[in-house]
Amino acid sequence: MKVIVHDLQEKSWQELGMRLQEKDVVISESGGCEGTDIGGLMGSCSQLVLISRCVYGGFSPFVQGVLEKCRKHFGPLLEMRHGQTHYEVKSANKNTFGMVCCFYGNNITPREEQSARILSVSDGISLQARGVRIAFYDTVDQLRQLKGILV
Amino acid sequence: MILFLDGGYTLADGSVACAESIREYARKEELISVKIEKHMDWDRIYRYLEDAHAIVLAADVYLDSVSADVLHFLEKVEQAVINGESIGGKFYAILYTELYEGEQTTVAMEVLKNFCVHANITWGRGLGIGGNKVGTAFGRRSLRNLFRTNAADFRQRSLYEQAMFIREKVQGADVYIKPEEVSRKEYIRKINHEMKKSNRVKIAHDI
Repeated sequence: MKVIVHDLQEKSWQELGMRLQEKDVVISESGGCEGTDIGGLMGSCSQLVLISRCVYGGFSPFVQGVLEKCRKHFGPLLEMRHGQTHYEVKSANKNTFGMVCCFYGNNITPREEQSARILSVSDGISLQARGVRIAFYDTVDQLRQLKGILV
Repeated sequence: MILFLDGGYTLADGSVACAESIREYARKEELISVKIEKHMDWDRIYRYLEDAHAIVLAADVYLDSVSADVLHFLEKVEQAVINGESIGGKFYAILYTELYEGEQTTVAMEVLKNFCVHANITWGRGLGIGGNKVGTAFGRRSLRNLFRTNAADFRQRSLYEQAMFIREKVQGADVYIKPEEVSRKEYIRKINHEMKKSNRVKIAHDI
């Protein structure tokens, strides 16, 4: 099961023509996410895809807000990993799910791209993803290329 | 005037609130505190932003980022600048994390710096505070702790330093701190012990 979190307008999302399977879950602002157990979904997916406008080298407010909602599946206990403290991850899919972070926006500066890359890798480590793929696109239309990355 | 933006720093428990610390150390400078929320009085905010010589954001960091509400706020400020608002004050950040290492606020600090570039605001100085659970798990319950240097003091010294930079309107290198008096291993052990204990109490209450 894929979990896709995006901040696109519904029309733009439809135009991407993503081929989804029945079990895949899409979380978007237009689709609403109140009452959805986002943490539970993220903790059981095989691939977590975050499609976000690049905001100052990080995720957009909507995508960041979704990540904040999965807080209860995270911690509160701490552990040591890679020489640093991290929250213990309770999910069943830790170390088995793949993470894909896609940032779009015109005029993403090299510095913002670097920030976004570091943020994505760091989040992957925090969430205990098996691996993280990061992609940047200048426009929403170019996001169609994502089809080749998603499993 | 110092504009203090409360981006949600609820993790700073057991110690004097950040705004009060800055107010105390900045002495004669007027400090106006505003909580960042979804719905704000933007006319008032823009006036404060124009008048402030220093804008101080205090916020928790989660998954290497400030909260969605803070990001939304920053975008609104950038848009205001594009629309003609003028912000002359320098931007200072105080970021908190429960994780031991203050360096784990670095990525969030970069996001704020990138915002300053977009909004044409001068970056002042950043302070990243790790080990922010010190003060709860390291309370004064035992005699031994009474005679130890209060581990929570590590925040106060750095807040004082940050307040000096803010008061003098100068830029400085970003600083990242952790509770040096406590080892990483001891910090993790103590926090986890307190968490498990409070869960047991909660379960007992529920029963």
